[in-house]
Amino acid sequence: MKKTFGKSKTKALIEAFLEEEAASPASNEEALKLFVSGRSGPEEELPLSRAGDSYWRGTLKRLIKKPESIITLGVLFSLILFACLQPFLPGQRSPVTINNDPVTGLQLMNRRPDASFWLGTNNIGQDLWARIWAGTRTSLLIGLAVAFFRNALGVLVGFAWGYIRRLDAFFTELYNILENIPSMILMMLSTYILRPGMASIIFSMCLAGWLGTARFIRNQVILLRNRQFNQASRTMGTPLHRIFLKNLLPHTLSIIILQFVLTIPSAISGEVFLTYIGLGLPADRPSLGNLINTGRMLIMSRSLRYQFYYPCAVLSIITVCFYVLGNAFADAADPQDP
Amino acid sequence: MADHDICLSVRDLHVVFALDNGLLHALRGVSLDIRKGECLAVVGESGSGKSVLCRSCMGLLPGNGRVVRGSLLYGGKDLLNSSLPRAYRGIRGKAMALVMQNASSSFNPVLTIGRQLTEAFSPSVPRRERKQRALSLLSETGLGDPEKVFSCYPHELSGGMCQRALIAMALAGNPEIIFFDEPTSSLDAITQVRVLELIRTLSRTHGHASVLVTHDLSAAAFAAGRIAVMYAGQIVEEGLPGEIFHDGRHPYTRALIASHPARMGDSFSYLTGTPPSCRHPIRGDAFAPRNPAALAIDFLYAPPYFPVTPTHRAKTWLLDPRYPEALSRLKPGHAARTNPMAKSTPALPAEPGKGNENGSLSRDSVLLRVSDLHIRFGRGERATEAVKGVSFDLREGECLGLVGESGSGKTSIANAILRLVPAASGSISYRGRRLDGRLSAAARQYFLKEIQMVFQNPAAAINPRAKVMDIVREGLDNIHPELPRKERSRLAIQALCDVGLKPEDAFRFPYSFSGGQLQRIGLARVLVMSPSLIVADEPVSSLDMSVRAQIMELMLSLQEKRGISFLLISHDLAMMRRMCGRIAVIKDGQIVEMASSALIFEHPRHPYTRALLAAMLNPDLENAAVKP
Repeated sequence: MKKTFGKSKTKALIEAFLEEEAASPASNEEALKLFVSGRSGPEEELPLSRAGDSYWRGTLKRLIKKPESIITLGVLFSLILFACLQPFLPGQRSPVTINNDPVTGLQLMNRRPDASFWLGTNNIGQDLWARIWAGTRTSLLIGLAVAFFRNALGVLVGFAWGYIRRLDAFFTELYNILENIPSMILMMLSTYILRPGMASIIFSMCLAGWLGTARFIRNQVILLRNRQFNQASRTMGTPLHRIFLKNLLPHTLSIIILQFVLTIPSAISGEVFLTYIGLGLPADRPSLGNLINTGRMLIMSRSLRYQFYYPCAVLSIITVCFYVLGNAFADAADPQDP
Repeated sequence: MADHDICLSVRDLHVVFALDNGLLHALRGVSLDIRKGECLAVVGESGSGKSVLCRSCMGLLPGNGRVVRGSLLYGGKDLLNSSLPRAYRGIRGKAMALVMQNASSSFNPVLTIGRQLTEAFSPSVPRRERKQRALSLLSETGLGDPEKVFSCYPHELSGGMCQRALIAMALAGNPEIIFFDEPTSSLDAITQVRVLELIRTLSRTHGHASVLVTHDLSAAAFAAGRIAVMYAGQIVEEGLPGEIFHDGRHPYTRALIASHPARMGDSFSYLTGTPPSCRHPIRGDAFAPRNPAALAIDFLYAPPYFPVTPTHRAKTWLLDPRYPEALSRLKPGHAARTNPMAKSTPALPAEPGKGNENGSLSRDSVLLRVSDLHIRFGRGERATEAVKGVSFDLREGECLGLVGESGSGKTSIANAILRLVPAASGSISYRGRRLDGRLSAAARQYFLKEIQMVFQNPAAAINPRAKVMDIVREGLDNIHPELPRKERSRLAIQALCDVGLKPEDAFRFPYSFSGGQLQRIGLARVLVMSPSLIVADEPVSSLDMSVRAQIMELMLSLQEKRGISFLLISHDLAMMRRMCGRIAVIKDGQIVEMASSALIFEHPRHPYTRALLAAMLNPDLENAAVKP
């Protein structure tokens, strides 16, 4: 961030600068004494670092300067913490128990939010509050798993693709072929063949996305590949894995983290999409996807609409927060950003 | 000099930049008069504030820079008082013009030169006349075919032609002052001289004042009628070239001249340390910490200017009239003591690397033999041959220089020796073993230990995101993985000490080092592998002039102490003369002349060698200073 002039602090600093340098000998006598060789003034302490903060500290500083990143970090942190702690809190119901009326023995279907069911119940009498948090856990797990596997594979392939020239043609052709299959179809087919489930959803979403990530990383690596420090490493006989780890990774880590952060919301909404078309998780495993899908069917009924709104609100908060955080990080990671 | 001669007067100019974490005091009270029609050279190292001076005169400081004190008097008015940017509109281009660094990137790449040149004329010039005038300016700047250049796009011109076109553009507004910001730094030696000649002639024919900002003392000596030396945001000395070169008074000026490779005779005089950072207030004389003969007062109080002659003044306490008095009072009979300005090491016992001058070699002492080497880039019909049949021998303990312009293929040869590019034909052998072509892993490992490379620009060749320890240990990790990690770290720290750095530097990141220190790191990481041959590709050309001599001295001492052979690649003949026993001159991928360095300098045979020598910008600074 460029500082602006005119602040009183800056002005005072400039004055101090000028004053300290403008000192002149007080008297003729004093000056005469000082015309000797050697140092008589105070030993100067040379500042150790000349260029300021390290890359990561600078990035962190720029990141927390932005109010939006503080807010989204706070919201995400408390959301994840609460989602993890919720089952252990007192007075919580299980997300899969079907609640029956103790008097009549009937299912407490579609109860509107009240004191005992904070967000109401669904059409078979399950507690929506508990289901939403269980769903949040599932969806976050899917998001994080997809983000991890997709990016780990993408980065590895991207490094090899970008750095090793011989592999370039092969991967480019592979990319041309695979990227022309619509990813939705790929995702649908693979979940369909593998039968819907947590693992198959994660697998199919990684399958659809890793090549795009690899391509993105490859473009970054091509910019780095001909930098002279890589050439220096080659003349010193440095093996490939060390070049990847020490030369390429530190320069691409910021965009890898950005990719990671942005994959999470897209994976969560991908799960919602798969559930929407009936290839999502089984109904006994609550996720934001199947909660929203159930709610969607009730959207026309004014009294039941709450079953749609609440999971949607949680999904929106998570998605928006990760997205805003990712972009704030991308800005902060660029040292040239004013 | 009468006052009406002065066209721009800079008075006590202070410029401060606001940075992320504090202030940078870029100009610390600069006072300078620019007289009509003169050619003034402002000489200084990078970071001394010479470009900032140009830009503040033109009112072109970046957003985070601000003039905090001082005035710029032009035509009786203070330009800094007119805070409106409009005030400058009548001045930029018309009264003052700036020729920026790196000419080819100063043009808009999608418009023709002619289009951009006609844009520069004032609206009072009729549209019809503009093309004619532009063509005459282009031919005046020495562009052979102005019609053709007029319709060219910037990428179609060479660096030197771009520079000429840019100068033509600066002339278009018929300004009173033209600032040339490092006009020659990106050009070839021969082109450099021609551009400097052009600047000199144009000044005479057009009558404008030229301010030549440069880091190159010999360029200043060649073109300028007056020289101002800048150090740490101040002008420390100002005078006619003869006065600066023969009678420099400021310790910095003297040290700078002494560390010029052309001046380095038998003994090496060089500056220690690095220029100060202007991020903290500097007390006293900014040069004092690097000056072994500094006075106590230098550390406490900044000296004022003392005149030597009406045209010559310097900012040093040595000129204070009270100084001799103080000396005689202190130690009688000591007053005549001269000031040893820079550290002088005694003459080296034997000229290193200068074995038998005749070039008769015994077969067994040949370390590296390159015979009939061809290197091609590209395939098929579009292939270009960068190296066309180069042969030379490098003897054990020798320092061989390869001199040539950029594009002559010298770097390709280095890359072929390091096995970075394949040889199309011919052979390279090291101690009798072929090193080109396919090699077994063991042979690769062997050459890895024996031959290493020092790169041109240490800031680019050192991974900015790794700690110095990792950088220095990298090669050792590769060739001696069997050693325990602790031992490798110890050797790395030892190497850092050998090149004059401190052990604690190992745990810092490269950004906290200056260019000279980075090149020391670059040497340390090679030394730690203890090679027998170091290929150094322009090892000092990206460094500041006061630091160059330090690095050259370091390389010479390594050659002497450890018997390391060097293959030195450079375009800088002055440096070659100091470092190398034999020199090979390369032109268009072929060696046109190869002889001992004394022979090359005294009896150059090939016309190209003569041209190169002529383009050395009169290494004899004394002769350069007394020119017509």
